[in-house]
Amino acid sequence: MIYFDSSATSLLKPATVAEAVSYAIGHFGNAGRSFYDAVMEANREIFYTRMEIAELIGLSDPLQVAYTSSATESLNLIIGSLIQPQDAVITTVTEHNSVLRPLYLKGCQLSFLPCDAAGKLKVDEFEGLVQGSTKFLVCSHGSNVTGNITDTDSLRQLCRKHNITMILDISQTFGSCPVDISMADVFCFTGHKGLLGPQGVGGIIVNGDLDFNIVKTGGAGSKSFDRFQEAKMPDVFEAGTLNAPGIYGLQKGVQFIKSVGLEAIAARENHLARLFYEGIKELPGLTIVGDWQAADRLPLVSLKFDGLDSSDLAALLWQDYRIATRAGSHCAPLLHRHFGTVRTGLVRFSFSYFNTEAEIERGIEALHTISKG
Amino acid sequence: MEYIITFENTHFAILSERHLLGAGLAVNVLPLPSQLSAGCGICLRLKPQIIGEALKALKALEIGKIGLYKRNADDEKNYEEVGDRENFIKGVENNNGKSACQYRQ
Repeated sequence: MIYFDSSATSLLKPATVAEAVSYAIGHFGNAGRSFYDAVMEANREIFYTRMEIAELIGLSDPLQVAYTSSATESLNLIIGSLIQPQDAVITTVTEHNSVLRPLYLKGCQLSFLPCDAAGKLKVDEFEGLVQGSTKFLVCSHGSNVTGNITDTDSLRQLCRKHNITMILDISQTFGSCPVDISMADVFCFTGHKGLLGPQGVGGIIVNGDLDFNIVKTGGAGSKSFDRFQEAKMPDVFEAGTLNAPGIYGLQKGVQFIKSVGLEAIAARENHLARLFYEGIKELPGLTIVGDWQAADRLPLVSLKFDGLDSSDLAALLWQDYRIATRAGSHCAPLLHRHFGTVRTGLVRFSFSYFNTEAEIERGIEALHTISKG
Repeated sequence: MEYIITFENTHFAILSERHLLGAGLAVNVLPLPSQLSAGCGICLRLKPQIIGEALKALKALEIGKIGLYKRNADDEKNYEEVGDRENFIKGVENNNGKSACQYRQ
């Protein structure tokens, strides 16, 4: 198999991740629930993983990192905890359903920042969406369809100017390109994409003090006679047993990233994506979405051929070439409506540090052959 | 005699254990004795000879409010709270004739 679906999950991971998960299953007790060796080992590794994540994003207090099961759960919890139905919220037309659906469910007043023909957000239209009751901006740091990276510097300045809390979905960027704590007030991340950890672990990172409402509650391992757990990080979002094997695996993924260097990983992934793009961009009948003038992009290419449904293209790639891609709408309905690809979908090729130039060449050859009919 | 340090939550207990072990101070994790009240169900046990050094080391950490208790004998059931920490630390430094090195890891 040639795996070009790393935006979905990092199938290609360092060996230490699986080793850590396997070790934890046989050795870790239930963290925070007792004191003997198996529990203390779990306690320590969970804490050390917080430290690794905090260091990666430039955060000084590791207790501002809370674990969840996924970025989707993180967004649900944060939106549920912070946003009230009477709040006005700005989001964008480039968002994944993990951002859109919790906002729809909240019932708050939504405004959508539009994008241009290349899927680049029209940041200059942001202030036109701000009302007196606008309290939040919820948006992604990078698009899982276009690969465009959001201009967070400009949005952060605008949010500060208008006293708007900025919630950033870093699912596609954390571990693949620089993410800094100064970019937003709240970050929602997943462990199984760029961070190279296992599925089933994600988190929330908070920059500063925010007033959380408890939206997930249950056993927290301490203060059992209090009616609820503390409404502060990280316990406010961590009721119940943590996915300690997943968290330990995540630790190894983050350590791998640090050992190689984030810049080296980003450079390699971008090199592979550009190599693929340059090899196919002139094919007849091909449309590639995204802002390819930008120097910084996510390592993915989303495309379609005229007259060929994305699912048929993806099926050909798998059946004839064993190339794994993702076809369809990528859980980004508004962006596909913008591109006019609701009926046809797009096929996304997303690359990882572990892909090779030979695999890229094979993908290019495959599309050249398919384009000839 | 032994001392018990209690914490508001498990995170602070883990952070403190790591910090003290990193400073070469021998600490043990215990379940919180039922007669003591604290937010966290685990506590750290230390020998008298290093308690002063440990308290000073913990001052550098942001770990919320800690509790400090002593028990005069292993079989004694009652823990006595140590209230005045500053004078306690000074007293330990003045009276502790033994080197703490033998309790280092």
